[in-house]
Amino acid sequence: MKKILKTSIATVLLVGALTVVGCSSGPSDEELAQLASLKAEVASLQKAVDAKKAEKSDLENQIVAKQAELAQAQKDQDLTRERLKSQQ
Amino acid sequence: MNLKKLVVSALVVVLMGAAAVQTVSAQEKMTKEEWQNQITQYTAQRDSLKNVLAQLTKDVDSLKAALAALTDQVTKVQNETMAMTGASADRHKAFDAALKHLEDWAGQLSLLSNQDLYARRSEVDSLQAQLDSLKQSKLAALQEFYDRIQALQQKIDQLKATLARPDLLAGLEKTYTVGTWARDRDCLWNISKKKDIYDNPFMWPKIWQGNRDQIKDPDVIHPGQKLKIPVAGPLTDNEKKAERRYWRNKHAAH
Repeated sequence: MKKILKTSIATVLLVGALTVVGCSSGPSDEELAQLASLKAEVASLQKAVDAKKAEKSDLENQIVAKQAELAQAQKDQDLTRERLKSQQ
Repeated sequence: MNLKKLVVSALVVVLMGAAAVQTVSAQEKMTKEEWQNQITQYTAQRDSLKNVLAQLTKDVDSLKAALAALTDQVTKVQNETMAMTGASADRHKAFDAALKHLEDWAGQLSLLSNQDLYARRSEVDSLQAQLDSLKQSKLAALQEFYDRIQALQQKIDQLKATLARPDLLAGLEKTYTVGTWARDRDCLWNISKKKDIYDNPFMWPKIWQGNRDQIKDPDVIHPGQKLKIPVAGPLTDNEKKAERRYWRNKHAAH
């Protein structure tokens, strides 16, 4: 009976020690919060980068359209000049 | 004996429970090393994204400036072109409205049946005259008007081509053989008044002008003369002029 009691106490102590050792090897709550904040910042930056890329692409398209408009305006001006000459 | 079994069973349960707790914590909680790795990885990602964002912001600002410059250039060229015509904004607007009026008018004439078009054929000439007048303006040289003027001229040409078709005239014009005064009371006034002619005596100049080759004096027509009866419709400018000339001469003779 005494032997059983000793074995039981030893086992409980062993298990307790193992559990304590296992629990104390991770980062602290403060460190985990730091990581979460960093992740949120990265996600926010990624969103901002995506929005900026879309804005850039839109502006590039607008510039292509405006360049075509300018070319057309210059062409129209040349044609108008020629027609005015032939009117005189 | 029973107590021994009970204690052993309890120990097994405690050991298994402890093992399970260890496994779960190992899965849920990261190690310090893993945390450090993730901190390093996300820090590098954040720094890289900050750089990308800064570059993109710079690019966007540069593109905005380029777009603004291009917009200014387009406006400048358009203003220069307008200045070449010497026209004010008001004249430009008035020209646009006048052209639109002619376009609508031509559109209406295009929808008419051949018979109705023939009756309003003088309008085609008026339309052409007004378009010719617009063509004289420097504004007609502007591309925005030039294309519209060309399209309108094509439409007028089509109307003229329709009116010039001999089969159209043959199908539309009737003839009338003049009877005697004693029996039929035929004169241009009375012929024009007939139900199956114009049902309107005031249309007599139309018959006169349509038969200039055989009627020199509208007061004199002869029995047996075969007169062409132009298609009904308002008197044309020429017909009205001829009528006025007739009345002037008539008054002068008295």
